[in-house]
Amino acid sequence: MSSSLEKNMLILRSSDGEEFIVPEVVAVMSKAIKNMVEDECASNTIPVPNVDANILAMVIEFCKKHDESEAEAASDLKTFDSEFVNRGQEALYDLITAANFRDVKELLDALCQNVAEMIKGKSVHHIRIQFLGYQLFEILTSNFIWNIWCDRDFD
Amino acid sequence: MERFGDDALGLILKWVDDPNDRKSFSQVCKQWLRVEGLNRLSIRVFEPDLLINFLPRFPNLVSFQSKKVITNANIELVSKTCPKLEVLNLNYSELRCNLDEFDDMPGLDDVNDYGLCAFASACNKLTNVLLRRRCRIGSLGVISLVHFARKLVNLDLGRCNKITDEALQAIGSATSLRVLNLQGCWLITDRGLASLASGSLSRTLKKLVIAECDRITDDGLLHLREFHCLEELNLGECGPKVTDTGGVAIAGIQTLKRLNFSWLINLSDATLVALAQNCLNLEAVDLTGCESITGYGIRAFVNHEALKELVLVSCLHFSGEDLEEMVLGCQTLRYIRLDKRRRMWIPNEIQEIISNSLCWLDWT
Repeated sequence: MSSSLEKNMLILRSSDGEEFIVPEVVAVMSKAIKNMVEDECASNTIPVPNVDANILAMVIEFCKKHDESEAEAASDLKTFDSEFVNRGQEALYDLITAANFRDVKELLDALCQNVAEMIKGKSVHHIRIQFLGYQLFEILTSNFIWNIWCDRDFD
Repeated sequence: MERFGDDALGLILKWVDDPNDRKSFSQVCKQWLRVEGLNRLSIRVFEPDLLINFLPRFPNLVSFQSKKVITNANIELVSKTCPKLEVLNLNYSELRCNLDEFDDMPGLDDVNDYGLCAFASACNKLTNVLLRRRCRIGSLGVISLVHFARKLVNLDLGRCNKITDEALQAIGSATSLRVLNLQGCWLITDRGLASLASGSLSRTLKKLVIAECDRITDDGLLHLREFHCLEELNLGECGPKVTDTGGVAIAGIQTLKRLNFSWLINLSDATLVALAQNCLNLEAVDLTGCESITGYGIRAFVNHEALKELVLVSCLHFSGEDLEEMVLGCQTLRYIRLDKRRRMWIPNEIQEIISNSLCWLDWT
C-alpha cells in the first residue's frame, strides 16, 4: 500500500511536536528505534519523548553523517565527531540524555569521551564548578561528602 | 536534581583512566561517589582491617590485591561483597626487607585454610590466585580452591610451605590451569609430582616452578614427561638428588622453551647433550652453579636453532674455546651471562670474536 520510498522513510516526532522525516537506515542507528521497527510496533510516526526538536535535529545530523561516511576515511569522521560534541554544557547534557535514552552507541561514546576529557586532570573543586555549578551551594551544605576513607587504606 | 543519570555517568567514567582523575571524580558529590564505586574493577588494599568501611562501595570488583596480613573474617567479607572477583593477589610482603625470609612470615591471625575455603566457595569466577608466602595456607584450602574455581588459570603457592602431596593430587585434576608455582613447598615429594602429572592438568600446564623442593628425586622428574605442552620449567635448587637420569627425562619434554637448572650440582654433560638433541624449541637455559658440567656439554648446543639465552654463572669447567665454538655455531644465541672473575681466563682475542657476533656477554 505504501511505495518503497515511503517504506524506507520514518517520521520522528519530538517531544514538542515537531516532525522529522529520516531514512530508516539512519533512524535505526538508535537501538531503541531499531527494536521498535523490528517488532513492527512502529506506525508511520515514531514519537521520541523527552527529546525536543533542537536536540533531535542534532542527533539526526550526527546519525546521517555517520551513515553517509561509512566508506569515508575514519579520520574525517573523527574530526566531525570532535567538532560535533564541542558544544555548551546544556546541549551536552541533553544530548547525552537523548543518546542514552535512544541508545545511539556512536554518539554516546563520542559525547562521553568528550565529557571525560573535561574531567581529566582537574581538581575536585574545578569539576564541581564545571558540572554542578548551579547546585554547588546545595552540595556544600547538605550533600557534602566527608572523606571517611583515608588515602593510605587503598588505591 | 541530578543532571546525568547513573548509567550516563558510568559511561563517562569508562573514559577516565587515570586513578587520580577517578579519585577526583568520586569526590565530586554523593551520586558521583556511588557511580565510581559501582564501576570500579580493581583495588589494592593497604589496611585490610578497615575493609568494612570502604569495600561495600565496590560490589563489582574483578581484581583484589593486598600484601598485608588479612584475617579470615576479612577475606570472607571480600568474597561476600565482591562475588565477581577473578583475580585474588595476596602475595605477602612486609615493608622491611633484606631480613631472612623465613623470619618474616605473616602472623597467627593471617588467612588460613578456612578463609580460603570460604572465599573459593563464594567467588567461582576466579582465574588468578596468588598466595605467595601465605604460609598458614595448607593442602585443605588448596583442595577446596581447585574444587570450586573451575576456571583457574594461574596459581601461585610459592613458599606456602605447608603444601603437601594431597594438594598436588587435587591440583592435578584442575582443568584449565596454565601456570603453577610451588617454589619452596619443600614437603612435596615424588609421589606428589606423580599425581600432579596423572590428571587433566597434564594437558593444560604451560609453566611449572618447583624450585627449592629438595625432596624431589629423579623418580619424580620422570613423571614430568606427561605434561604435553609444558614450556617453562624451574627446578632451581632442587638439591643433589636430581641427577642426569632426571635431567635426560626432562629433555624428553620437546615443548620446553625456558628451563632453569640452577644449582643442580649433580647434573652433568649428559643432560645438556640430551637437551640439545631433543628440545628443539629451547630458548633459554639457566645453568647457574651446575658445577659438574664442562665445555663438552656446552658445545652440544652448537647448531641448536632456537637457543637465545644461556646463564653460565658459577660454572667452572669450560674454556674460552668452548665458548667461542658455541657462539659461532649457535646462530640464534643473543645473551650469555658469566662470572666477572672468569673474564681473565678467557683470552682477549676470543672475547673480541664473540663481541663481533650478535651475542652479548654479560659479566656479573
